[in-house]
Amino acid sequence: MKNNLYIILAAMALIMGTPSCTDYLDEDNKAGATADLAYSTVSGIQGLVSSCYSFSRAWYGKEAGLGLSEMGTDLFYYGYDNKQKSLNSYNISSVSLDGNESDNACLDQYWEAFYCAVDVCNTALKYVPLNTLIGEKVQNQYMGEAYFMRAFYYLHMVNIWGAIPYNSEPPTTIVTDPTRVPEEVVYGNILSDLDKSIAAFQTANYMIKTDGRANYWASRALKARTLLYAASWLGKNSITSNSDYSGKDLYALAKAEAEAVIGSGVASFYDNYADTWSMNNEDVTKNKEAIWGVTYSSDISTNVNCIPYRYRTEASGKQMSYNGLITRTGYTRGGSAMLLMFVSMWNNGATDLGGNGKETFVRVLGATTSTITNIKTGAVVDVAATYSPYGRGFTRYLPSVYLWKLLDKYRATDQRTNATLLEAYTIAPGLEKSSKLYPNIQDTAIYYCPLDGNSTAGKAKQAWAKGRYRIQFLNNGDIPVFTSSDPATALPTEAAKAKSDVYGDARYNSYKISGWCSYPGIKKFLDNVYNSTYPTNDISYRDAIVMRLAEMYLIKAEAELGTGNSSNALATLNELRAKRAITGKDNSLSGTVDINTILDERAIELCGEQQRWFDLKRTKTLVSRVKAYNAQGAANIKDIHYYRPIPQAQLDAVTNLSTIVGTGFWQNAGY
Amino acid sequence: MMKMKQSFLVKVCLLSLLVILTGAQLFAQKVTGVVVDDSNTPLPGVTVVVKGTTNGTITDAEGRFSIVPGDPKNDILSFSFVGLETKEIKINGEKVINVQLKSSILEVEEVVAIGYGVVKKRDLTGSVSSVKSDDVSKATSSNAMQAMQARVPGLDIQQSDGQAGAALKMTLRGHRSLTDEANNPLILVDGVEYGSTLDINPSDIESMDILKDVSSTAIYGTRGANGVILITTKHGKAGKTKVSFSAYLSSNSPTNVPQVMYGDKEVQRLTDKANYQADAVTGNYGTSNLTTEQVLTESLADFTEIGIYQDKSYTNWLDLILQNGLTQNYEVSVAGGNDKTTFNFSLGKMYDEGLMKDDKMDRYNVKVNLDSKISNIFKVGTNMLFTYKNHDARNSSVFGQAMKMTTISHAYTAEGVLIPNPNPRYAAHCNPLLDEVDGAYKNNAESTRFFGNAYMEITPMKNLTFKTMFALDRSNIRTGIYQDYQSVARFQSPTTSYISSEYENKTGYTWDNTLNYTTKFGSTKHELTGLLGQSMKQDLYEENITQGEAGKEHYYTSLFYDLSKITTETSTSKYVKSSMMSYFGRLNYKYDEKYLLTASLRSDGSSVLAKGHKWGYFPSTAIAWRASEESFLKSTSWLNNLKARASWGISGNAIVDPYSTLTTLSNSSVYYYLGATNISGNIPSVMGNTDLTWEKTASLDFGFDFGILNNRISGSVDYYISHTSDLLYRKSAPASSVYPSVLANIGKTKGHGLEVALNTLVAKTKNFSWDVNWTYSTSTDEITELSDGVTRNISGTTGQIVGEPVLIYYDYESDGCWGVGEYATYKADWATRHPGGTIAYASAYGAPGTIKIVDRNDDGNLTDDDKKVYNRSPKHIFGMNNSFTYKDFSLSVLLYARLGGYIAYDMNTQLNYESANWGDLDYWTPTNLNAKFPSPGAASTTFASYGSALKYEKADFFKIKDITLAYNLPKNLLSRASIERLKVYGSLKNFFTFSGIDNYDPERGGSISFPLSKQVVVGVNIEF
Repeated sequence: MKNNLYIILAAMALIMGTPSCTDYLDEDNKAGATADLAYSTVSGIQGLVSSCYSFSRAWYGKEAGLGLSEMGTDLFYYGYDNKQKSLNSYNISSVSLDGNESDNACLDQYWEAFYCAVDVCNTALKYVPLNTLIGEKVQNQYMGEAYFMRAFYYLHMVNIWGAIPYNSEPPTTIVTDPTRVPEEVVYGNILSDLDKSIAAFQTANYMIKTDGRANYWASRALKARTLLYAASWLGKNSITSNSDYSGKDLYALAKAEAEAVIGSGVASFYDNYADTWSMNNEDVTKNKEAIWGVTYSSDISTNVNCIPYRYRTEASGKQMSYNGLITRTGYTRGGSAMLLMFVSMWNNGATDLGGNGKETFVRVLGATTSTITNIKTGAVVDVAATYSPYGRGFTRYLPSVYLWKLLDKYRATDQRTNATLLEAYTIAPGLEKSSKLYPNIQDTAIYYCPLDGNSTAGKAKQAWAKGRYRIQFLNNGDIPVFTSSDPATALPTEAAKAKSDVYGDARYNSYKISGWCSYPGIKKFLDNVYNSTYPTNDISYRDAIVMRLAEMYLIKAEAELGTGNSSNALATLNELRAKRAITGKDNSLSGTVDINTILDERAIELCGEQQRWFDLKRTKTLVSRVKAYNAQGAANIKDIHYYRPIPQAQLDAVTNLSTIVGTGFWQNAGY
Repeated sequence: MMKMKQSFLVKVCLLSLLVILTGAQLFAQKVTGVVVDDSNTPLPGVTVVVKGTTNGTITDAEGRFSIVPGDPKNDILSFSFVGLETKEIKINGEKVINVQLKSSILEVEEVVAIGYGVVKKRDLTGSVSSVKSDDVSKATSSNAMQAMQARVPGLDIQQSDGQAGAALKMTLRGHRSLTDEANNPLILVDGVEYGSTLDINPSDIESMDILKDVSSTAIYGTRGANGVILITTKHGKAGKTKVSFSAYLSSNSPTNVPQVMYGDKEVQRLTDKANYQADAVTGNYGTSNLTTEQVLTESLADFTEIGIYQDKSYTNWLDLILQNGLTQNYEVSVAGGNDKTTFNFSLGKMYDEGLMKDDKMDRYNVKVNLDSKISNIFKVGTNMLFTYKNHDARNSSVFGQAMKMTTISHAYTAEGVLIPNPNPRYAAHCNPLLDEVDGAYKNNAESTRFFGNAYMEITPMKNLTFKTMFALDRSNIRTGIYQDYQSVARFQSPTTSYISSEYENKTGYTWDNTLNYTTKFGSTKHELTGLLGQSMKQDLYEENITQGEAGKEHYYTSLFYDLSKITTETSTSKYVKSSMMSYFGRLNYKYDEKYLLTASLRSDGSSVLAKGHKWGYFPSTAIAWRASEESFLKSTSWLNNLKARASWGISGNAIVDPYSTLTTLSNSSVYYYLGATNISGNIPSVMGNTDLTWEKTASLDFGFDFGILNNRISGSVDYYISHTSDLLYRKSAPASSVYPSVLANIGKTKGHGLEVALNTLVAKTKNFSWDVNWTYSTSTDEITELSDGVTRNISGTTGQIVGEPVLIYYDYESDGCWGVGEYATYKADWATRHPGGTIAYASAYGAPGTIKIVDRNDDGNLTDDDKKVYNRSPKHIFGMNNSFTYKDFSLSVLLYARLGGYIAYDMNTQLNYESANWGDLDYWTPTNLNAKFPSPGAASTTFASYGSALKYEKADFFKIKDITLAYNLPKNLLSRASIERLKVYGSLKNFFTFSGIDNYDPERGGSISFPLSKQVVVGVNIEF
């Protein structure tokens, strides 16, 4: 019995003894880091500051960012395989489509991405001053960068959605009743951030653009843009909440900033406008014209170019991915998608030129697909260098009739027409006459002609082209790109001819030869240098130039117009145009400058560079210009579209939802 | 009163006997004999004692004994042996006494495993279903859990794909938690958490007990809210050593494979498409009349489309990619022991082939169960399972690729060379057979798992037992992936080879200490059993992944084994630890065999929850009344058993990832390119919730068990109501506050349901019997509250809406396709209905032959408000298991039906507009206006925006899951070969499925890759 007693006692001791290890239920996350610890190190704080930039890759160089910043404007129509058709045709709604990649404006995901981006900037602004290891100079430089990036993201947000919740610090609790801060206040905050950035950069004496970071001149350039946006959208004396700007003429300030940047020598013009877009000059730190841009590493085979994961998680806690329109290739490899956006279906839609196993065009995938056999001579022709720059026919966007005609107008005197429009596809040298249906084919394979195919000149062109190459006219003719030459009503054609009028055969009986699949492209963003390592061209390491010198002239001109000095504006525009003239040709403008002159010039200079929608918005010409120049959007566009809808996911999650504009958390009117 | 008197009398008798015996020691006389078992085999090790004395002996190897009793006339010899009935024989002066001991198993009442113990089924107060070894051993799946399908009311088991070693989806009593994994029942093997893929030989399983109501599960506290499945493995029995062998072969062939358009049908689609597009130009639909020659213009070097059309040399890609698989399974076990020590050793090998080449699994199991009684006080034992698995999986996109591939193409050239991109319409569409080139694709997981425990039981005094058990669960998994640059995953992009190697270590330990006490008092009318316990559990997970591109090279032989081939390497690691500590107690009280009461309380502390919220308390109570024991019913001859039960309790759920309460940085690096360097950074990603606590479910269960007509009809009925609160979910927060999802306790759900289990012996004659087991369940669940007054939380086509079921789809409703001119009429009508209103459908909406979406609120705009709720949960689940025996033959037929609920059937969006094949779907043409699916010629715009509305199909199905015919060879034939039992059988599994969806088994839940198989099984069971 005594033994038994001992056993019981031992058992009781076991039971009672276990909880004495009081830390048994405590957690210690060994493979994850906490902010306080990570950001007190040199590499940790450096990584945090560089991460402030990473989110900009979600917008610049990406399909959905391009769609929201450049499309649904006067410059572009959507093509056959566009993934944001309802955005472009203004059937846009607040519905959060999340991962949908077939037709998604992606506003819900950008709403998220921008708030995360701002949060990383806020985290940097909190931890940089606390880091004692980096020294005061670097501290100032980092603060300058973080303020710049926060201003940069908020500028996008306020332009997209108008009044928005404004976070100035990392959150400590979840705010379910957010306040929409008026646009004027947001602008005031952005200007204040830029001023702090400029001051910090000045203290750090950080005025260079050698490494892709924001710097003193980048901040001043962005300030010029911000002032112009505020002046044109809110009014020239609109800022009241920021005392530094209250009552001041924002146009005058914008002009001063632009002039300072122009005069600084931080950027200069190439003699040849096309050099700005050469893949050899893609690096923003080396590109002479660039002031600041979003960088992509030339390593496009790993994840170093990928954007961050979402803060939103799956039910399992796994961080979610932004959708493919934003990441382009997910999270294993990243890069810019711009090279894909403006390319017509050149290789898939060219059965008239080859086909039946006797191709003239192929997409270069690798060694096995980089040669074509000439059907006449039997010679094996290496085509990679010629075809690789055309990339892949994503058929997302095509230039509007307005843009095509505008560029065509100055063809003879201005470099920018030829450097911008991709009006002809050439076949690889060695494939001459290697086309059954065009027995006299030489180098030109497809030519998009900005003429009316039924005009006399058009008919003459058609007669010349017969048997030599495929010719597609702006309108009319055998296979028109557009249904009309009237910019207000023209739509890309969506089907081709069962029987060709010119040839009497069925060579054009394919939707792939219709206007929304086959059209003149935009050259600026093509990978024009063949790279045998990555011949597929599904992604590019081209940096996205966000601000460049020409824009400073355009800001200056518009600011001059805004301050009532139209003749100075003309002089400034002509200063820029002189740089873009074909040697020995005069491309200068004359007459009275108005906002349309500025917008035309911006179209010629900046088309495709992710600014147009904001330009039309802030100048309040969006509705009139879409009605006049974009028949795909004309039917639906109305004043509500000056703001994008707040995503439904946000509305579903707030507790202060209201239906009255200006109280609680309201949806933008009309959505 | 009567009983008390009786027991008093017995005691007096025994006492006097004792007195007599001690006095009778003088008359010494030897008694000998042989002890044999049921089959007349001599039994060694049988304890033979002169009753009431310490005078005893043990039988020798031949079962012989010899003993000298004190009083050869009146003494009683007691023969006892574990697992056999104890027999007492009065010597009566005999000198030779031969004894046959009968197996006690049959006589013992059925017991049911409950948490930390067993109870007699008749004493059960909760709702527990059991599947016994005979049914478990019928499973011919790599996962023995399959055996429970259609046999347990309230348990919904689904298999969604037919890959080798595929996992199962299980829910018990509907959904109450908002996340899928949170609804998984807790599965314990021999008392230790195991996981849902059961790598155990079916013949090693003694029973599966499914604890359903909360009074049964509350003893598992925070892990019990979704039900508990207790799996008990077989232990040895004292007596003759038994050797059993079972083996089966199963031929697996694809069944209910979703069909794509083949040959002429696809040609017709392309023709219809071209005609539509030509019509669209003219606006006169139905007028264009293109010839096949005009449509089939594409070609590759090796063929032309028109040539294939003319000689009908189409390619059936699904046939090329699918094969018949063969599964082989062998199990051997040796069990036996004596009254002190028993053992059960087993060895199993399974080779499972899926329906595609290189989709296969090899599995070896070694199992040892040992129990040994060291003395009357100490007992020790162990259960050990070692599993080795080698599993090759296919890339899941290959099947999809084969479905998309046009059939108007050739896989190989005339010379038999694989054509890498056989689709003449889209060069980037690669050949799905690329992965079948030797070495081009490998996804191999090799894993070992040791799952074992050792226990010690101490019985210091009568009725009191202390048990301590320590369990260790350790597994190592190595997953290697190699994708050649010319494999399906890499061919189009990025055209480089890829290597990944992942090592995982999982270590779990559990330490349970329990104290059990049983007592009877008040002359045994009152019976009380108490349990006190304490448990500690810790899980540790470590992971290392090395991966990266390996350039444009073939590494067909080194595959993923040579990591030095990776050119750009990234490695990631994980370390996750979670701990739990628990205290629990339970009281079972029985009065007069009629009234039963159970009460339990558990307290759980978990490391994953927030400080100050770590501990939770989970009480339960249950009562039962065995009405049939009442005197007023005892005489009712047709009623054999009637028991009414009621229970209430609270159980919990803490499906929370470790570290959810800590604010941490993302462990995936963020990069940016500055100064010609890719700088890596870590940014915040998780906002810790410092209020996180248990999800709690309170349930009520009412049930009764009955047996009538000599138990020919028996069964049980249960009705339950449950309320879940503090639901753990990623709460949707406004993205403007940075973290759009924060794990929180956000809302409430409720559910109720009815379960019926019925056993009917339809016929029983000497040679023939027919027995039917019926199961039926129905359940309903609903979200009653989300946090902060939010009424819905939708992400894509799924999410939560207050007042709707837990699992839903939320999407538009399609209504066929727009006819020619119909949209114009619709718009005009709408304008009449809404003077001054503007219609705002998407620009391309309304074209002839495109999807028509129901504008449910008729506001001229398609928004979230037009979406409809599709309930995903089944309403009724029905199972019927028929067993027929005729002499030595037996036949069983298992029927299964699952009714109600919707699935999102992926095949309905297998509309690859331009360049690829379509599902075999009824599409719109100018002469087929009522088709559900849009014209292949119409622009894909509307489909892209609203196509998911086409997906939803009613999931009802009925299937004959299993038909098994078995033949038991006659005993007299076998005994000559000293075989105890030999059974041969053949089965047809999953052969007949009836549903509203052609060529599809809705059990799969909507997914289309990796079809399920039907099996022809032949097998044999032998016992020596």
